[in-house]
Amino acid sequence: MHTTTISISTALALNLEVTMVLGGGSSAVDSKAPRPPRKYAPIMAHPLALGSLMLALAACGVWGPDSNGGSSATGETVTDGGTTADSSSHTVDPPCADGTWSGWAESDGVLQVRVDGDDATGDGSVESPFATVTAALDAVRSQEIVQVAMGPGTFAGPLQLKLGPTSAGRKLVVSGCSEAETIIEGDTGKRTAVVHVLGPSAVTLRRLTTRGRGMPLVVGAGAQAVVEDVLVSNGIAMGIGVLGKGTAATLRRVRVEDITGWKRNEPQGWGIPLRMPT
Amino acid sequence: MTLETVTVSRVQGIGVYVRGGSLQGTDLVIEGVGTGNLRGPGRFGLWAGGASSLRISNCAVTDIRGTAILAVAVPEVVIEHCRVSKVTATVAGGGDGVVVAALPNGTRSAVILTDISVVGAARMGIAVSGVDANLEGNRAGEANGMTKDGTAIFADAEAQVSGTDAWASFSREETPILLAYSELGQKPGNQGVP
Repeated sequence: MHTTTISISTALALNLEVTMVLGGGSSAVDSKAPRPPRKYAPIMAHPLALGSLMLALAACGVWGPDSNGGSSATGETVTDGGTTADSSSHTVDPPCADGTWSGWAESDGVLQVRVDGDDATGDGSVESPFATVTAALDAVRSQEIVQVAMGPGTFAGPLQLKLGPTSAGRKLVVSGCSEAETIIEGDTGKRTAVVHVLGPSAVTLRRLTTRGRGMPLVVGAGAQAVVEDVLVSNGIAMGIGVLGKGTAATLRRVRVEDITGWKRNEPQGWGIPLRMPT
Repeated sequence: MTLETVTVSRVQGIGVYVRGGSLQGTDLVIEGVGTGNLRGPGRFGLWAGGASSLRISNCAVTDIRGTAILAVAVPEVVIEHCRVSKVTATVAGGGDGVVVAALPNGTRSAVILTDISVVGAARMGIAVSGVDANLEGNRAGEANGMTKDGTAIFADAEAQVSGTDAWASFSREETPILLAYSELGQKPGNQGVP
């Protein structure tokens, strides 16, 4: 018996308007409370949405009632002779090796950023992620807590983390898959941070690597930063700089490696400098 | 700033630098610091100056060229359960394990050093000067001075020292030294501000 599993990538490849029947892909970014994973079970639960998808697939010859007239698509797996479909197969798989959405068990309420995303057409959903964190932050409105999931791959710095002029009292969480999988890299020079947390934002940065010929991570004046499970490496001048008045930082399970001065034979180069006006 | 389970490795100048503010660190590893050339400003595993407080618990500081831990003009210093090893000097000096000192302007500090082990510092293992220090259960030895005899533990007359084990394997002297002089005139090494 030949088995055909319908995946979202297949549907997209067939130019199906899948997002239309999902009820809008960008609503997730406005959600504060955790919600169930974005799967296609809601499609199946909605007769009209299910019908639309079935018709679209049938028109393309990908799926249809079997020869026996069975047409249930709510089963486990779609088969040529049977009619079982695995609802779990109708998902975009979590991008991280540990099976999470950059540390989150569910994707809803989290803005998705992927190296193969698109800032022009993306909406931050799992089906249509952004390519950069900057674009994701630009799409943020007034959420109290903003969550950004960076998938695996190498992203270009510099990156400024700030929630805009109304960032006071709000919280931004940027999470990657792991130190090994998600890397922010930049050749920014000694005066520019690869990742810069700008006040008065409260930012949590976790599960990634930041590195490059620049200052890998700087927490600027007035910013509150929590850095967890992060590798900072190959920087010049400093690794993680906590600089300026009113700045606070908590570093947990952080490694800082290979930090050099900014000139040849320059003896300076600080791993973690904390400089506060006294 | 709070550091929890933080490792700093292979840093050319200073591993952790605190100027102003306060630092609380637990499970801190600093290794391979001072890897640049031998000249120029001092290099340190951890440097704290003018901070309001420094609290370190459970640390390992090793393979440092310069000074492993230096706190100067910090009103409150608590360092406990730390292992320091392999501290070598630069051309500018240093080679000290843990140094806590006041500034000449009279700023004083309340200092508690507990369960610190310094092995293999080039000049001094543990040194406190001009501070109200309480040292308990510390061990230091194998301090080998480059230009003079090393000192395992140096404490001036204002320090309270108890339960301290000092031993030495000096190049020119085989006797462990526990100094408690206020008029010794010997400065803890390399306490300059970088």
